[in-house]
Amino acid sequence: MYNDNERERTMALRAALLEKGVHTHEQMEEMENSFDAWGPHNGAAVIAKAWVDPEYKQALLADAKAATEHYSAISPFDWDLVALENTDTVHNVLVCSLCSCTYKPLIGQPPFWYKSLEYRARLVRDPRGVLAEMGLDVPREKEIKVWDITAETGYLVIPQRPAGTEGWTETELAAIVTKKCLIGAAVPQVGGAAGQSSNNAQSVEA
Amino acid sequence: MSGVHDLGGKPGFGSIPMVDDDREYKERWEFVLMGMTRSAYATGPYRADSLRYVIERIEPSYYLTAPYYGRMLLGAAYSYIEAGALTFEDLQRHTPENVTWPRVSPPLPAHTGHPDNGDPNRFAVGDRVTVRNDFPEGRHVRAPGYVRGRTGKLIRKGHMIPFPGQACFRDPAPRERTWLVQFERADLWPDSPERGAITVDLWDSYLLPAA
Repeated sequence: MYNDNERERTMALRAALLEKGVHTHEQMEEMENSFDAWGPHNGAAVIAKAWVDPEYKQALLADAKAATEHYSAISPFDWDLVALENTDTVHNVLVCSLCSCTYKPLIGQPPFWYKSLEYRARLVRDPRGVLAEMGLDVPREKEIKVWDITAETGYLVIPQRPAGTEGWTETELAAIVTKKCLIGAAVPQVGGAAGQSSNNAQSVEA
Repeated sequence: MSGVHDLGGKPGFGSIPMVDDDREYKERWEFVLMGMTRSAYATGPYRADSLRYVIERIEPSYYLTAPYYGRMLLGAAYSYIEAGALTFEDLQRHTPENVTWPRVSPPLPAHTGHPDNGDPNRFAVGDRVTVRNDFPEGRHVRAPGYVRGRTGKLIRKGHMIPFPGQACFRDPAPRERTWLVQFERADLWPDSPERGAITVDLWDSYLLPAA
């Protein structure tokens, strides 16, 4: 009964806000147009830099918020950020079991699977099963650490740099770090279908 | 007991949907909506906690079947109304006649933390803490049900941010220390074959020194 008229209700809310002068056209359009500046391409650039520059990686692990300040300055949120390093013995994966939190300046608006009731319910209890279902088989010897985002501290997973990327430029490296990799639901693949899905705000159906 | 939104560990959920699709928006109204909420955060009618608390008050039958941005839309609309920036009549006036807005249950009084952030030195990294299990029902509490009453270890001092049970009412809420608390899955779900750590960030008021 309500599930097919969200568009009409969104436009009604927008019209009411404009009429009451709560927001201006310009404000809302500026926010909409800024969406493509937030996204996994930022997180991927941070990871690529951390892979080629050990000092930067240490800075990122010590104070991720300061090390990525350039990207979060555009955000109206005041979140903290912690970088989590995947190793031979630990794989990190993120969830927001209570709503849909992610560190948007670096990861973007979360994808639909991340916001699904199923992912939110199941990941904390059975991360290995959920990741396997999503196509990521984490070896038994690796502990899977789950990070449930509840108090506006976001996380950025630093994947392990895959073999076969020796001598790659930062741009080439960033291209294999997808949104799923930044969340810990995938690991970077060499020679796989690369390609970064971004906010795609400007490319959706009107 | 907490609300329908508190999903962590709940049994019965099936396959993860849309696994191969990392897109964030499918239709334009979805990011028009997010443009509104971000304008609100930037200019101050309400904070993310207001929006979250409205969503927690959506009736379960709608919560469990609505699309994600359908829940966000109610969160935004009623946040403006409860902040006094709009009335429901304003909204109705712009809504086509054959379209109905789902209602949400009214807010309950604020859930307050320590009046003065308590004793700032009462915990340190490495301490074992137990999450309270006596939160009042229907308030905005950001402690997932699966860690309530459970014991974990403080692994990192988090930032100081407005206390959610008060921040959801837009009044300037006192800031309180958050902590990253690490739990072992074996302590949360003893029957689970999977081991490993789960970390949740929690406000100081939510925690008690472990017995």
